[in-house]
Order: sequence, then structure tokens, then C-alpha cells
Amino acid sequence: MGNKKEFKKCKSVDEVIASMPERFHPENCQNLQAVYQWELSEPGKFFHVIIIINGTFQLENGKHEKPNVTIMCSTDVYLKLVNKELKDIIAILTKRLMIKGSMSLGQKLSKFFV
Amino acid sequence: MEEIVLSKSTDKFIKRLSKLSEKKQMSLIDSHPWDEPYSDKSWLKRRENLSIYGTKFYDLATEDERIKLAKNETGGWWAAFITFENLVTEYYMKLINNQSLAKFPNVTEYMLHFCKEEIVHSMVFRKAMEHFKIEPAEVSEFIKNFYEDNASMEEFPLKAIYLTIIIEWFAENNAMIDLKNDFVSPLAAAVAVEHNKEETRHIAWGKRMVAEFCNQVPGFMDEAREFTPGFLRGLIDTIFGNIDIIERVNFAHPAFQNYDDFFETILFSDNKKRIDEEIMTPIFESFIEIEIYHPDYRSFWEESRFSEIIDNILKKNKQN
Repeated sequence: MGNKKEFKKCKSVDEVIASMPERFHPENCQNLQAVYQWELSEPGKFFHVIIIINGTFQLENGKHEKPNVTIMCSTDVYLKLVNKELKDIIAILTKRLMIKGSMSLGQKLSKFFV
Repeated sequence: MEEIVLSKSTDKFIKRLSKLSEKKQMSLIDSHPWDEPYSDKSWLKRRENLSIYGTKFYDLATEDERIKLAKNETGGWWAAFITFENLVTEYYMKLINNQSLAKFPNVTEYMLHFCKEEIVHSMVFRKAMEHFKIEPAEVSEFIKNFYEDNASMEEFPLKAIYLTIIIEWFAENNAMIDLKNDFVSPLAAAVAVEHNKEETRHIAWGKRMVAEFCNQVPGFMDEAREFTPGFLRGLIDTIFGNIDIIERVNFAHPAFQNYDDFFETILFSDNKKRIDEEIMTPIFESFIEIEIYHPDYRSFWEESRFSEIIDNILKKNKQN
């Protein structure tokens, strides 16, 4: 337990993206290729995309043509989810979070960035 | 992929299921007491299975609101059944048309019975919703996404069969525990009981198909072991907590407006834990038997808050 990293809360989407390399667990996505797209709204609407390729990830801006999983929510909700201030199931039930696409791949996401 | 084979005993078993389907079938017209007069005081499920039962929200609700909630929660399940059963029919007919299982004619023949029964079931659920004046609640995205994991027509469609069966099985178990009460409407009870007669065969077929092929289809077991617990958790929680139903009941007490507190309370209540256990135990017993549950994948069951149910079954198995 002594080696456990302190969980640092993110204040912006940029901070979340910057923290990704540190939080990435390649061992949990070996032999997997998938495109995850976030459609974030309020303020404005923007997309960010994570492409997982066999234990590596790359980030892209803009809308992807064929994502396997699309996650839609406001920026505020996104930050609360990342910072563990809101459970994903509560966000889904209250319609603040919508996930479209492959359920199997959607489930795996939480194991890639811990 | 090596050639997939069907054992003679399973082939015979499936042929018998087709015979049973031919022998007795549910009728949209006369299998249910449709002459039951409509009353907005009818309980459509047992009180103890209300999502709010055993929580502060049960005490804050009036008796009329509880009855309305029971009606709409039952309607929510019926609407989910309609969605599942339409998807299954559409998907299985695609498989049949695509000749994905043509080398197993008895399997294909039973799938045709299966589809026909599902069509009648969804018509019965629709008729029941009209009878009890229940508008369909919005079906969750989680259920609508079902197809995404079932798109392939080229490979042996075991994953699709598996997903279909666990959905049907879990929904069926819920329907049967919902009616365990004397004052549930006879029509609502008949809808569940008559459905159960045919679903029991569908589930038996699905279980047999999965047991037969799970070790023949490459990668199936590893994938099923990984995604099953999370899939079932998502399924049961998104059906159990439906914001449209809560809005429709229109509870008078202002505490019901705090949705975060409401859903947090009902999803993590002791009563929900009991309902989860009642619904999931028969399914998990089978998963342990065919090794969909495997100790190496235990973390997935823990994360999905199902490990206690698994442990109870393992303990019981050890004692026997």
C-alpha cells in the first residue's frame, strides 16, 4: 500500500489528457485495437479520441468516423467522473452520461487509465 | 477455426425442444385472463420488489405512489422484454437467412420456433401494457447497444446466443420473483407464468448451446469471463433505476427530486442486494458449472459487486 500513487484531481480536460501517460496501464490492453471517442459539451462541443493499439495509445482531436465506443457528457460531468466524484452508473441513470457502441469494449476502458 | 461439431445428445435434446414447442404454444388470444377489469389500484408486482422498498424513499411515498411505481416498473420490464425479444428475433432471423448455422438443421429449426415464440411474447407484453394503460418507458442505451457486440455474421455466433440467453434468463428470473405475492394482479401474474413456460425452453436451449460450444469457439471463454460480470451489472442496474419511471410516478415529496441521492440509495440498498442475489444465483450456478466464472478472473466479479453471490454458491456447493 505504501507505493500507491496519490490520486491527483484534474481541473480541466487538458489536465486529464496530460495525466494519461502516467495513468495508462498497457498490460490491460495487449492484443486489443479500439477507438474510443469522447463527445464533450458545455462549453461548446468538442471531440477527443483515444486509439488503443496493442498496449499503446494515441490521442487525436476531432471527430472520428467510426469509433467503437462513443462517450457523451458535459465537461463538468467528465471531470467529476475522472475525479471519482460521480459514479458512472449514477451519471448514466440521470442521463448525464451516454455511452454508445460496443459494451465489451466500453467496459474495458476503466482498466486502461487508472 | 477448427470444425465445430455438435454432439448427438445435444442434437437430440434440441430436436425434443422443437417437438415441445410444436405441441403447446402461447396464444395471444386465449392464454391469459384478458377479461380482468382494469383498476389503477392493481399491484403488478410484489411490494418487496419495488426499487424503493426498504429505503427511506419507501416511507416517503404514499400507498398510491407505490402502486403506481409497481405498475410502471413492471411496465418497464415488459418494455425491456419487447426490446430484447424483437432484437433476438431480428438477429436470429438474420443468422438463419445467412445460413450461419445451416450445418446444424435441428438447431436452425429450433431457432425458428424460438423466433415465433418471441414474436408472440412481445405482442402479449404490448397487449398487457395497453390493458394496464402503461406508456412504454424509454429503453436504456445499454440495452440498445446490444447489437454492437453481435454484429458478426461470419463467425460462429456463440457470443450472440450467449448474450441473448443471459438477458432472457435474468429478465425471466426477475419476472418470476416479482409475482411471488397473493395480491399481484392475476393477469400480470399470468403474463409472467405463461411467458416462463416457453422461456424455460429457450434458456435450456441457450445453456446447452453455450455448454456445447464454449470450448470449441476460439477466444469465447476468455472474453465471456471478462465481460459477463460487468455486462450483467450494467443490465440489472440500468433496468432497476429508470429516471423516466420516477418522473412518471411524480412523487409528491421533494426528496424524490434529488436524483443522485435517490439512485445512490436504491442501487446500493440491502433490498437491491437481495434482489440481485435472487435473480443471479441460478445463473451464476450455471456459470460456475461451465467455468464462465473462473478464479483467475475473480477481480471482474469483485468490481461488478457480484463476488459475494459467487462465494455463497461456492460455499453451498462445498457443503453438498
